Amino acid sequence: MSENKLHTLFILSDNERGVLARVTALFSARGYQIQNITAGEINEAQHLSCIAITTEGTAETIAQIKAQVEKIVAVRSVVNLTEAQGAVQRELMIVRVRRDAPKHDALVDTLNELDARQIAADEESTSFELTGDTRAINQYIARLNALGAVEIARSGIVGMAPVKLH
Amino acid sequence: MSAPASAPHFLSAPAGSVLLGAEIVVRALRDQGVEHIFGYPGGAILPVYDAIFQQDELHHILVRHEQGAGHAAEGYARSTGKVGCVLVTSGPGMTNVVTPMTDAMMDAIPMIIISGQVPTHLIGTDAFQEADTTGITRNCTKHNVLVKDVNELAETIHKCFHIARSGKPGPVLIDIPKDVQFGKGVYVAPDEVTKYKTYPYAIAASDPKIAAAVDLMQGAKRAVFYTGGGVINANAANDLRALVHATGFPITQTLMGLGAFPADDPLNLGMLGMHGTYEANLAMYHCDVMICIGARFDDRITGKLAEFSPNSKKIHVDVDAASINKNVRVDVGIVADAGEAIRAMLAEWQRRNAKADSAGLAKWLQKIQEWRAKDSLAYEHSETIIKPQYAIERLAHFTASQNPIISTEVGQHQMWAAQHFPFYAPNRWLTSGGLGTMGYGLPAAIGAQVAHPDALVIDIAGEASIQMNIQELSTAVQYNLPVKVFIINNEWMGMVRQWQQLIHGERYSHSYSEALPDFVKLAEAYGALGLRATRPDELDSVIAQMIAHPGPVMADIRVDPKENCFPMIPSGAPHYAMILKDGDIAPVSPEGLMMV
Repeated sequence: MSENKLHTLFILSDNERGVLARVTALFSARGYQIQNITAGEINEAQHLSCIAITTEGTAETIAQIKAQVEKIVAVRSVVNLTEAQGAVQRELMIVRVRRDAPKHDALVDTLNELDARQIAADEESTSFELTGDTRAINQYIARLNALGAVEIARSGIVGMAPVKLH
Repeated sequence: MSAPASAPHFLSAPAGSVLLGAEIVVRALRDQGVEHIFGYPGGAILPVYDAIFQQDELHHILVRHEQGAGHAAEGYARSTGKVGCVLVTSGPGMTNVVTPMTDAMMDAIPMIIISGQVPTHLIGTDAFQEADTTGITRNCTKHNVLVKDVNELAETIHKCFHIARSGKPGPVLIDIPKDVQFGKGVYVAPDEVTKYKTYPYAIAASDPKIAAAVDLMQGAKRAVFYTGGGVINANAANDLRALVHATGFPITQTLMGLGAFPADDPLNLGMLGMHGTYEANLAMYHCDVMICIGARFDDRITGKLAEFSPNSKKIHVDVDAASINKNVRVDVGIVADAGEAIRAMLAEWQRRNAKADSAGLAKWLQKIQEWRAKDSLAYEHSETIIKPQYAIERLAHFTASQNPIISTEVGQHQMWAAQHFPFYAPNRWLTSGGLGTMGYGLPAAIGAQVAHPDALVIDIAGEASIQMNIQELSTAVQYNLPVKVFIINNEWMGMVRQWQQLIHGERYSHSYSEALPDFVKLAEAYGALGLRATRPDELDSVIAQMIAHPGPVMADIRVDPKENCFPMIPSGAPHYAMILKDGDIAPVSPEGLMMV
């Protein structure tokens, strides 16, 4: 048995009612964990959606999950982004810094250093967006949290397989 | 002013006609070749019942409980190879079919369930008899769909039939709100639907995986075939027989696979697994090449996984890719229809003019003969009390010439039937394998009898299981379905009692069948014939009367209440640790205690 590690599966599916529920129900019914999940429509005319799920398991478990997901009628294809050479993965995070934060200037300096993009501002706070792979996002979060009070939201993984799927 | 020409009947209207949603349902079923549907009406499905009333090609069988409809459809499907169909109303009508759907999912039975739903504008309002049907049935169907647009109805039904019968078959539910049934939409015929989900099916004899499998088979000294329900679903019993005889290897079958290979063939080791024969399980343990076709290495088969067939190379043919390497790692995994794979292996075997290692095979069959000599299905005969195994043997003896269809409930009687009733052909054995559903047998027998009105159909039952769907006796009487219910009545939930004896210190918690009804009077109350045998010398004549009676019969066979079902692999134990009789009892491991 190989070791447990995180894998991200990219699922291309028909955008029909209940497909996301079917995928997540399969994970809970068979005792697989969902570390994070993203989903969205990518082609309205072709009724296509994509779902990215990060889960933990051995290579054998991941192969079993992939085979089970492929059985779902609405699913067209499943690619393990973690194993696929040339696949890309990104997360988006949003950070809001209050103007009265004790380390406001240090936070803004850090965000500028990280190439964060300001996306909103009002009298009380400023919001920034950042993208990166999961490891980078984890590092950003650690650095920002070390500087004290910030509000953070993250998207989960959006990924793309190295081969054309649709 | 002349009267308007009347529109053609919805069954004869050309494709492309505008029909009521309810008419589209009946038309689509008819065009899919459905002759019988099992169901129960209710508010949210009344328009479909109205359409059924106005035609005579689709025959509706009214059950007494929707669970009965589900299992009847399963019995119909299993005995014919066709898709079994169910029609129920919303809410409780649908929830009562959850057990049969789960059962069909586990045993790969093709089934279509059509459920009424509250009108679309009431969905989500907790309306009367509303339930989240697609939500509730998501995990117990191969696919399900809520149809909100009447113009999508026909195409959806045709697609669902394709899904139910293709790949690994299974139950597919179509939920239809009442306003969609009343709406008007365009009917499309099955051949007008172009986009279907595709499933792996064929495999060429030249495929490298077939070559790898045949390489292993050619080099084997101790090979065994292990086959399951997939062979029956693939309608490949004849192909299997040809492959087994070409190689000369012995074969064992799962509970679901019985009938795919003739019981009396010398190469047949019988059933394997928890209550399988000694020779089958030891052959599995000691083999050097295992050829698994259309079975899925479930825990009832493997026993203790860590000691499962430790020294064999394993070939696994399954139409479900997720089944391969799920429980047991295999050396050659072939995703294909069982029949296609068997024919490909046979073609490759013949092309190579292959021969089994004759010295190795002779030694192997000799070893198997020694195991067989243990006579692991033997039991102590009695002159004074009917032994359950004896009752089943006599039933088999007196019905052999009629090629009967046998269904069972779940428990000891089911295992005794699997062990002692010989099957020579597929589609004659209907049993709930994966889910183990008590109450399956009588409605399944009714479904089989509807499909085969002239066949002898017998439900081998237990006195506990039969009470779970006994109301269906009324269905049998209504439709003149001459099913025979053969109750192995030991006054206990026998398998529960056996486990309590072996594992729970003989503390018989709630397993005694207290306050049993008088089954003879009960049968008579329903308008069926009731019979009873209490002594061995009464048994033959009761069986003869049961077979001779032209209508439904319930026979109460009072058997030894203390008989245990052997042989048995205690839960969590490996194949070689079989118990053959009372007194062989070994302590159960802590891991085994957790198993069911």
